[in-house]
Amino acid sequence: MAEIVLHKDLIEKCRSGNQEAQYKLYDLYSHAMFNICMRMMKSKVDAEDVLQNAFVDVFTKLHQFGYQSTPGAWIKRIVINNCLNHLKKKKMLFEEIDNIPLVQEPVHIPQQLLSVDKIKSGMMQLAPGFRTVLNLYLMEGYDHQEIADILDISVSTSKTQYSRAKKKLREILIEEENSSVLLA
Amino acid sequence: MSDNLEKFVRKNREHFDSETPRDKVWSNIYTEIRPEKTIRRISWYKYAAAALILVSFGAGIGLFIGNSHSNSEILVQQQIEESEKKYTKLVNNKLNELSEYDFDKKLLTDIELLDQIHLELKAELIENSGANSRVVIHAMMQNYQAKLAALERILSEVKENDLETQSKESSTIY
Repeated sequence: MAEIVLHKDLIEKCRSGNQEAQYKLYDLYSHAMFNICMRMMKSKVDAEDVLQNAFVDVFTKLHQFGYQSTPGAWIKRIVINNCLNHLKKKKMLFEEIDNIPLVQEPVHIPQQLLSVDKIKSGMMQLAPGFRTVLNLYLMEGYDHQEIADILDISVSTSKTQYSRAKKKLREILIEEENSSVLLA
Repeated sequence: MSDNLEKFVRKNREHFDSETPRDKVWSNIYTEIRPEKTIRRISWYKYAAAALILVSFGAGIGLFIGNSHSNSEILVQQQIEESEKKYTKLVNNKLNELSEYDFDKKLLTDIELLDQIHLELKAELIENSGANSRVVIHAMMQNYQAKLAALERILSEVKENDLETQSKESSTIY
């Protein structure tokens, strides 16, 4: 069970424009949020741009935050929306997926290919649509209903995208492994 | 039903968060949210108001003068095209210069408002070509000038902020 942290005192101070509190809130969440941006945006410069815009949104919309969720979850949604806006701006998102019936089969990746660095680099090679759904489900822990809401797609499209993204990732990891074996 | 990729990520989730943003991100955020920023919101609306007054004035004069210019449509068209070309070029130069800076896009809402008025003026011109077209054209030119002046001031503010940010970067204030 995740610990529920509301930081009510800190939020109220931020709302009244206390600079120290604002920095503290940024300091608390910027690391995790920046890593979301890095995975979504790929480039560090883009990730920093999006993080910056997202936190400006956070502080200007803070009066709308009603403690229905944790500040972390609320900030995370703002960050993800900013990433998506940025991606859409660059016209990189979503090819339409036709709703073929989906058999949810587990994707088994050879054990030796499962490392943090390999997965990170493999995900960076995925098409933006695949990468986004994989990030939201696998890394950020959203379920398919939530992803459908965030991306404005159907639940089945989210499931299909996710399943295909995993298969593609598996292919990339195997390919990378083979080419590094060949080079060795 | 979870597979070995999902299990692996769940187990090692924290190791995926290894990147850190540079300090300048916070100083940029703070520049955007600090209180004086909001106070310094520029009141371009007076330009917009001036342009609107000119339109209504123009409409009035137009009715008064009647249709003495009804056969000068071609001339009017040429005049508009020339001026539009000239001003569009000037405005685009300023916009290009602005695009090289990172700044609060809210500053541009005033420009958007002026654009809106420009469109209204143009519609007015098409609707009442002849009668009060001179006055409307005059208002359109005023609108362009207001837009240029607005862009000029945004640009100088953005440049000033940019310099401030750069000098702050070496000694970031938390």
